[in-house]
Amino acid sequence: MTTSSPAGTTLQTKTQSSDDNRLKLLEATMKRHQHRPDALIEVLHKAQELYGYLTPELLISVAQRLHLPPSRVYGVATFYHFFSLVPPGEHNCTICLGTACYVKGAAAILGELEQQLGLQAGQTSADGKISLLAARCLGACGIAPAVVLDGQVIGHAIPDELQTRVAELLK
Amino acid sequence: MPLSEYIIMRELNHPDINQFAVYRRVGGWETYAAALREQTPAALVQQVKDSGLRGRGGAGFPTGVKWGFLPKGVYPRYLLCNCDESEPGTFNNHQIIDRNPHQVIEGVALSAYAIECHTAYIYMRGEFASAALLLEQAIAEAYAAGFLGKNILGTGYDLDIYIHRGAGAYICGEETALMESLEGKLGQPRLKPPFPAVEGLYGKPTIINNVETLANVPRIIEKGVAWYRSHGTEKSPGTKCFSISGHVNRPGNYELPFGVPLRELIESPEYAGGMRGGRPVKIIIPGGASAPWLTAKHLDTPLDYEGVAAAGSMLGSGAVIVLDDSVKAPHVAYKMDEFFKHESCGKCTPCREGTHWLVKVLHRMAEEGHGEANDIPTLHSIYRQMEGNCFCLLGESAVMPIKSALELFPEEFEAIVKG
Amino acid sequence: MPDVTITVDGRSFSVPAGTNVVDAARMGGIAIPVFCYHPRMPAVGMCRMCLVQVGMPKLDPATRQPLMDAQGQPVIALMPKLQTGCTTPVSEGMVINTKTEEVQFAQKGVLEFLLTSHPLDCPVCDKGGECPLQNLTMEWGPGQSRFDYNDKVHFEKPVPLGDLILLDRERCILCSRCVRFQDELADDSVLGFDHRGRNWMIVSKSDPPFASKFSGNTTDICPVGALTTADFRFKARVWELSSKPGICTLCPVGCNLNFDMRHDRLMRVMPRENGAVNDIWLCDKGRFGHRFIEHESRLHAPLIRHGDHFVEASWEEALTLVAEKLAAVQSARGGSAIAGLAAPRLSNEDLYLFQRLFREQLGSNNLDHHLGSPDDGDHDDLGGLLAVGKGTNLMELGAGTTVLVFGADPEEEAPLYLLRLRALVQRGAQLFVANQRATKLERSATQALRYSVGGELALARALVRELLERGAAERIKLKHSGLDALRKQVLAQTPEQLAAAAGIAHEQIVALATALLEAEHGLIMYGAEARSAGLALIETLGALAVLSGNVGKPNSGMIALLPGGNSRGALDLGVRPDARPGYVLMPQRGLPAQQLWSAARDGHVRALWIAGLDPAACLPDAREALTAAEFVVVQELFMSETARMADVVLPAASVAERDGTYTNAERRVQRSRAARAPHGQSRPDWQIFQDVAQMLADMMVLPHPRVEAEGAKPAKAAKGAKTAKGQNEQVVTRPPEPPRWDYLTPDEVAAEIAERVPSYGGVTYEALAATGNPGVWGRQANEAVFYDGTSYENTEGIGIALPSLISTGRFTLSLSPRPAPVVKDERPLLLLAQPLAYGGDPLLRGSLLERQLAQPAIVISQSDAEKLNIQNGDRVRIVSAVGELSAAARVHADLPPGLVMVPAGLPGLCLSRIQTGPRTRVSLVKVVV
Repeated sequence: MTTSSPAGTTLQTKTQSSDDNRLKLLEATMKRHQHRPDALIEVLHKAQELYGYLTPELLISVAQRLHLPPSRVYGVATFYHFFSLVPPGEHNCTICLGTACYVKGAAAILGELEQQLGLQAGQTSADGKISLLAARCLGACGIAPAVVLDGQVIGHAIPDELQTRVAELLK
Repeated sequence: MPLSEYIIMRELNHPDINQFAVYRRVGGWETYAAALREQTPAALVQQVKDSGLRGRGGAGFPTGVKWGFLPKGVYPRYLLCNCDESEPGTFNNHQIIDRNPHQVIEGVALSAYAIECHTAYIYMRGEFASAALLLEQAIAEAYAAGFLGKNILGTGYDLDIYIHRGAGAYICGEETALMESLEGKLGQPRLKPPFPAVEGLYGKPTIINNVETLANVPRIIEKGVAWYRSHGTEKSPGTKCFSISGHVNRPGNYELPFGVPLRELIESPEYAGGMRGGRPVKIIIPGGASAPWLTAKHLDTPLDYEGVAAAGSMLGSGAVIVLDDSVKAPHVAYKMDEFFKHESCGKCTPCREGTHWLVKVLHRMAEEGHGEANDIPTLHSIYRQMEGNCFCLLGESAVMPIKSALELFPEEFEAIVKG
Repeated sequence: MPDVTITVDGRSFSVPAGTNVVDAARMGGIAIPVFCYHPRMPAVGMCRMCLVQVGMPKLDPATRQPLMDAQGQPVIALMPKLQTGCTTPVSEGMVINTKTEEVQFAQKGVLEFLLTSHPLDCPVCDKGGECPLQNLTMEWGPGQSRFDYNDKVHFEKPVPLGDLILLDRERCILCSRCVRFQDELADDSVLGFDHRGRNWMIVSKSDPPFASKFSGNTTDICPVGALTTADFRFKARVWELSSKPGICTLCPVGCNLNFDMRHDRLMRVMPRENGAVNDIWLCDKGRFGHRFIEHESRLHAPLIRHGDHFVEASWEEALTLVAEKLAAVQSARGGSAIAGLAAPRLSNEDLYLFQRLFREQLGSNNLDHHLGSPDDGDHDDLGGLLAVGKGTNLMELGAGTTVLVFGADPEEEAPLYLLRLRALVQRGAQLFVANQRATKLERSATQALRYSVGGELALARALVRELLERGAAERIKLKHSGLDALRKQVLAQTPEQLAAAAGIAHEQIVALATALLEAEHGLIMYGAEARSAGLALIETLGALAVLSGNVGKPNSGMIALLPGGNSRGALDLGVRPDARPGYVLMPQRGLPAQQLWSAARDGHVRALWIAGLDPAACLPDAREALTAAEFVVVQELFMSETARMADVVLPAASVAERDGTYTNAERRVQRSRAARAPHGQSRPDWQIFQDVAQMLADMMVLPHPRVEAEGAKPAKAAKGAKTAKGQNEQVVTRPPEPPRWDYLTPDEVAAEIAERVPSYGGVTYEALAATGNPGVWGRQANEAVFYDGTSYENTEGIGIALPSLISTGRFTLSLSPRPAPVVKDERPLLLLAQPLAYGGDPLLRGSLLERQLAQPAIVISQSDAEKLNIQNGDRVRIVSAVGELSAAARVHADLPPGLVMVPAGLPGLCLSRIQTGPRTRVSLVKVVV
């Protein structure tokens, strides 16, 4: 590593244009944490917030800026399931499969949505319109079965209604 | 009988208590201010010890005793507030923060003062974005009012509270994994000893308590030990926010004094309001997914640490899941162990491989309805090979659903094997 | 640590308190199976294989004394759960049960779990036969599999983690030994884990992946067949291999290794345990860099030049020609017209006979072991005179030890030292790293002293000054002289002036001086960068070692990192123009390599014998000289550039094809054994020298006294002729020995060395075969705890450490260092020829490391780059007083301004064209295309 580290490593991702403000915002977050390696998870949160998901370029530049081995950064980004290394759909629908939701028919809801969208849980449609996700308990057991549609929690979800709402989103 | 004055769910007494002004009006932050001026940290620790407050995160360990484990004279120290609530069935922390956030912050601040620490972290489950925002706002208001920061209220005491977001890993609720995660690493448990109180976050003495535990502290100091102990039982004093879910009419969080019978929580119209459609109770999981199962014959078990333990389970986080006879035990065990498999960090062999194997067999039995002659003995030996041999409690927890299901409902497994 | 008594499976014995249960049980001969635990790394308790039952004596709460039962035995309270032995420290009275039903159930359970994910592909697995998973399953595991084979997880495989190491995810049991080795021992955090749970997997995301000079070790400590080397993968079954003990000659560490042979073919190279040298490790250069032995381009027969081409000849023919030609030159022009160079990788026996051949048979002192390039430094004598004392073992050092590494880059010059020095720090030693630039070792330093470019001498003087101020001079116990001169020299400047000149804060200097003074053991290691600053620096470092009392005793002294595997042997054994074996100065000196080329060009030297060196590859002067010379013999493994210019080319046997001894940087002599028959007709170097010497003796060519006197002439002109620092008290003039040229085996040569060369006394092959106390390194032979292979075991000798010369009492130490070299050149930048492990070493040919060889580049600092508006990859030119050189620029964020680095020894980038001496000043120009 001693001779191969490129000069003045700056945060760059191939896909971003130079007037992209997001890099500045991410850099500001890292600066606020004094580029401390222990801020990694917070920084990844910010990066995902800004970019929607974590690209390899993003992970490598975060590693450089926080003085962390890239293998560590990848490890953390993949260990924590909140982080995604693939682009999310424009819309997303998360079905809770926690015990309380499961016993109230969550599996059926997921099954029907899978059929409706032609996707497996964890996949995004080919046109990038929607991601279908399954969660392992959202802590909304009191309103089971729970579904999160584009960030909005729907309690006591009913399959038909949900399917209609999803169909509307995709129009 | 519902409580006349709530200790934690005070929004039931003061509906807008989530607003800073309202919280102040009902005496919020006054306990802390008075304590900083008038009480020594040691006196506060003694009161918490005397109150008999027990950790609400699951183990029920006496909070004051835990604080007493801090080595004398070693600084800095850290206080961590555990809000990584991720276990199926557990959802009270989230609600406490939503509805009574200032009391949580005051509890963190007061406890920090009591253990002589100047930096406290609240570890929030990553999915709780809105709750994190609420807490951040509450912290900002506390700073603005002079309750946090440097030289607080002119007493010379400094305290900063930070929110740290998790990122989707149940294991981070385990206290040492939580510390690893706070340090920006993989959320995997550390070897114990050294215990956190001696060598915790960044290798410094660290106390880690649940949200609900810390929210109790301002009320104990405000109203006194005797008042606090007038709730609950001798060994489990105070109240508990029970999260009840499953096939009940009114799932939700209910704050009850310790010792109320399970039946009352389930059946009382004030609480869960009985079983959906009047169907019979089949499985009761009294303390979150990691607790051994109880059945209808345990309905009169008093809901306190000793009572539930005597019935053969544990009170845990007070997350009560009640299932009726529409469910099949192998399915429930399958879903729960799938959760543990998904959340297994991979560090130790029995948990990583054991949950994987369990789920393979259970999936075939429960989902495909196909059993093989050796399945039942195999399932027994898998959990036995895990039990007591895992690195941390996650693997041990994964034993409970399958062990309970096999012990309580062997016939349902046999039926699948017979086809 | 005090001992405590424990009882394991009913047997009571004592072990040091704090030992973990696994190691403690081993001391009592009881094996507890492990996977993740490795005695060289902190325990992590992950795999759960070492679960045992642990009990403690019950104490009376009142008296804190053990409670006794009716039989008077202590009452034992068993812990409620089984404990992992690796993470449980023993304490007094502890009871450990490793064979109860409960323990066996748990152990069998863990093994069954591990096997559920395992592909059970032993028949095609390289690890098969030396696999802890196989072996532990046989002993502790379940007899049959209950896991449905169809449920096995399948992963794409193998996954290359880099050029050298492949990962089979299905076999991996996620013990993290490899990740921890890289993080904690090698300090290359290039491995990590992706995902979690059953999907947890080893990854390398560094660029290039798995960039570490120690990667091969992960395959040794991998307890399954998950990590394999691209070098050995699918090559052989381990039970077909026979391990032949060798010594690595690729750097001065002298690692013990095994050439694992199948019949006559080299299948792999493995580390051979030696606690005093390489422990159980081997760097990648040593492990993968021995493919040259079987390279197709090896020379297989003697060659004689006929006009512009070579014709194969018989040995008889070739040797006769060599003897006749040399005899002719000798008789016509005297011994001084003949010169010889021998590579510092040849064995002691080779080198000793080479100098005997020249001195006794040809009457020439024109001997050296360098290329004769402008940057060859002076001969390093202090590394011998003040070498670490006999009995030194770095593995036993920790707290109480201070190590100063000065102007060295151990990772590149002697890679294994990086692991050893890091381990020292982990055991509590203080490590000070002084350099003008960042090196990898610096990251492990207790304190880094980054001196300014050219500030090294000021730093060394500041340290010496500090010690003198503290009265260190009064405590010197050795015979010495020159103290006044030293005093005068360092007191000429104030501490502030020196600190400023060094660019180091005065407090840091004081801290280091204090650490050296207070150390129970003190080591000073120096490398190429320090040597390039000239003898003034090295001698000042020597004074520092003496003044701080860190010489002439075990575990203290100087360690010089010199090129090749046996520079120390060459120096000890007199392959140099100024001293006979044992640093006995010659009244008349021959030509050092540096002066050889002009002497040959000008016709003073007519015949040259070059063994194992390739000066023609990058020295224009040498090419001219070789062209001008009347007769050139080259003794080589390959048809090198120099060989192409020879009159006779003699094929030499490689290190693996002959017996020999080598002296490492710490002056430990170690024996390497022949692993196979010599390639083609090649012969061991010593034998070739002897054959020619014998012929010369038969021709009765004897050194002519007149000629030897003439040889002194050019020596007088040589700068730094006073090279050998130790002034021998009385000039030892031995009666002329009858020439003996009838050695049958190298051990006869070694016996003669032992008899005649001071400090080599007793170093016979018989003595070298001693392995010391088995288990001396904390391990019983063939134990799975480390590694299940058979190659590790050291049954062939761990070598003999020579006493430092100063402790023999025959030398008086001169403490007055030479004056600093005067720099006249005004060019702004200092050129540093960067020594690299994967530089231009021709021995790396045919190895997988060829892909990792350094690329030509001119490495410049960020600020110098900005000044000249140079970007990474721009073409730049450096210009010295004598020449210029151009290459792509590489801008290095961590290089100080004023320094330019160019990889040393690259065939495509000939530094000697522009070098003016050990230190060259250059200016930098951007080449505008």
